[in-house]
Amino acid sequence: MEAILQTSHKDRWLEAGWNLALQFSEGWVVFRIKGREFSNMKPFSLGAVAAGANLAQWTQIQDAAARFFLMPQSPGFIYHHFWGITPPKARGYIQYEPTQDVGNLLSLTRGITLANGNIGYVNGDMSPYEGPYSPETEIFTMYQKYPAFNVLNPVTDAMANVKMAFETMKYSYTIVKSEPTIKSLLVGNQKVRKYTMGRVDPDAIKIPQWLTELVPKSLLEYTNTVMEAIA
Amino acid sequence: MMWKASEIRTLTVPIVAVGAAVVVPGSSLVPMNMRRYILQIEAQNRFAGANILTLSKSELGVVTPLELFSFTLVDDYIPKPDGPIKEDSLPLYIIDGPPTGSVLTSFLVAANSAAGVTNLIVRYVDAD
Repeated sequence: MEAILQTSHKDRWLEAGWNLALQFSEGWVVFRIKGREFSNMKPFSLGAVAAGANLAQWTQIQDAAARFFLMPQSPGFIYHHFWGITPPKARGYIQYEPTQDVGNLLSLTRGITLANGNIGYVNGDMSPYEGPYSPETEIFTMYQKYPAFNVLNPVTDAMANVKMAFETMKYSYTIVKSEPTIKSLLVGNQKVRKYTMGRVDPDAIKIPQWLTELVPKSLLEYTNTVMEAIA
Repeated sequence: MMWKASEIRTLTVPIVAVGAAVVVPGSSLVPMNMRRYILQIEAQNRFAGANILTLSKSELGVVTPLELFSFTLVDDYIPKPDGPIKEDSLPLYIIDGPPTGSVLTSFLVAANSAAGVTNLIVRYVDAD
């Protein structure tokens, strides 16, 4: 219900010509959106979850041939996802990328059991299956970078079928390489969406190898100097 | 509170206990750190005569009567409230679940006054 009182996730889709800055552990990469296409997946069934239990394995949202639904199949695209979950009390936990807990507070390994699963989750009250989806569920993915999910059933009745719904916008893009433009986008007043890939603590996820071949290391270092108010 | 249709649970169960109250068969424990909001109760007498169904809550070890359903004849039926639950219906009763780490539990209990069965339907939501 909380999400319904807030703005729709659809207001967060990017338009062609807008800019997107993604933070990796090595620095920021700034993209300009060239075009977009909607997609969705509803439902994605996670199956039954017993009372007080979680999924035995983290799910990476794959099809029967182990292809990742949430990841672009080629480097030319960025995917922008929001998700919801049902039943309303089902708690969804995210790792981005797999094994790296997002939303943690204290411990190095976040708990997802009845005894310690009160931290860093989004449940169906916060992000309802039928939408609108919570801004906390926002994920940008690119080739070779995808999230993983687990679910905790905190109630004393079994959940016969926990389902997730994903709404996605697929973007084509170009990489912004002009240093003055990058600086004005990162710390100026220009319209840009900034997003940390994964988590800030201890660090964002690593830049994919294919992207390092498109973005010079010196440009990544320049973005760090801009953010550290040196440049 | 606003209820979603997808989170309303229904317990449909015959109550056979007489005199001493027992755990309502099939009713689960109120989850840790949640409350059970009871939105609707329907009761029907299956005993061929007068009968009283006592519905109580056992909340962290303390039993409190909630309601007496008094029947005169077999098949007497008492719905409360009569009609469908709305998304903003006020709960009839609230049962508190246990806090973190407690070994105590909360659940529904019931008993009949006469040597017969009553049918009980309870619609509820477990929520924070």
